[in-house]
Amino acid sequence: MGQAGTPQLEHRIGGLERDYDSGHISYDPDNHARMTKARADKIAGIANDIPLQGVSLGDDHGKLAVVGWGSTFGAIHQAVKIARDEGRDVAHIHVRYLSPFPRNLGDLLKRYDRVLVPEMNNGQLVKLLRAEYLTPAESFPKVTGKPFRVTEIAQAIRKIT
Amino acid sequence: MTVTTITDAQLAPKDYASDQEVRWCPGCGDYAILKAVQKACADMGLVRERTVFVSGIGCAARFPYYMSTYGFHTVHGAPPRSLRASSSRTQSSTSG
Repeated sequence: MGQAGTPQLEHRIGGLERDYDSGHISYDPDNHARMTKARADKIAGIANDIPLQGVSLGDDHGKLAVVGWGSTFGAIHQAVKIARDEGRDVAHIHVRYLSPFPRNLGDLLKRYDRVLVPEMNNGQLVKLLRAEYLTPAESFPKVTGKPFRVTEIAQAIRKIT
Repeated sequence: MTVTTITDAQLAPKDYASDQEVRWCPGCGDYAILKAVQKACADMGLVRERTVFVSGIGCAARFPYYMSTYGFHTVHGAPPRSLRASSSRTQSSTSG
C-alpha cells in the first residue's frame, strides 16, 4: 500500500474484514479464516523482536522458579532473596512480555522442578503459562486489593522448598 | 510553510466513488449523503490523493470505503489522528 498522498494508490484502512490480496472489504468465509490466521501469525511474530526471558535473581534452573509480572516485582524479589539466603534453591523470573511470550520462556520454565506464580488477580498468568506450555505451574493469587507482603511470598516459597 | 491549493476540476462526482459495493439498508439516507458528498468533492475539485475521509463506529461509518480517496474507518476519537494525516500527507481536505 502506498503512503497517503500518493496518486493512484488511494485506499481505505478500517475495521472491516479485508481481502488478503487486494485489501478491499471481503465477506468471503475462507478469506476470513485466512486473514484470522494471518493476524495471529503477525502477533506471534512479535516474539522475534522482543528480548529473551532472563532470570531476575538466581539460577536458570533448579527446584523452584517464582514467576511474576507487573507490580509484584519488589515483593517477589525480596522474598526470593531471603529464601536464597536461607539456602533454598529458588529463582525469580519476571515476565514483561505477555502476548506473545518470549520465545525461550517455555524452555526456561521446564528447567525448574516447580513453578510458583504469585499475582494480584485470581490466576490469569498461571492459566496462560499452563495453556501455552503445559507446565504444572502453581497459582498463588491474592485478590484482597492489597499488595503482596514479602513475608507472604517467602512463606509460600518455604512450603515448597 | 506555504500552503498551496491544488484542485482537480476534471473530476466528476462518480470519479470520487470507489469500486466497492455500497451496503446500506434499502432506503437509508446515507445513500443520498454519499452522492451529495461525491458531488461536493467534484464541485470543489478536490484532489483524490490529497483527501482523506475519516469515520468512526456504525454503519454510516462505512462511508470512507465508498470514496476513491484515502480513508480511515476507525474508532471514536479518530479526528485528531486524521488531522495529523491530513497535515502531513494530504492537503487539508479532512472530513469526519
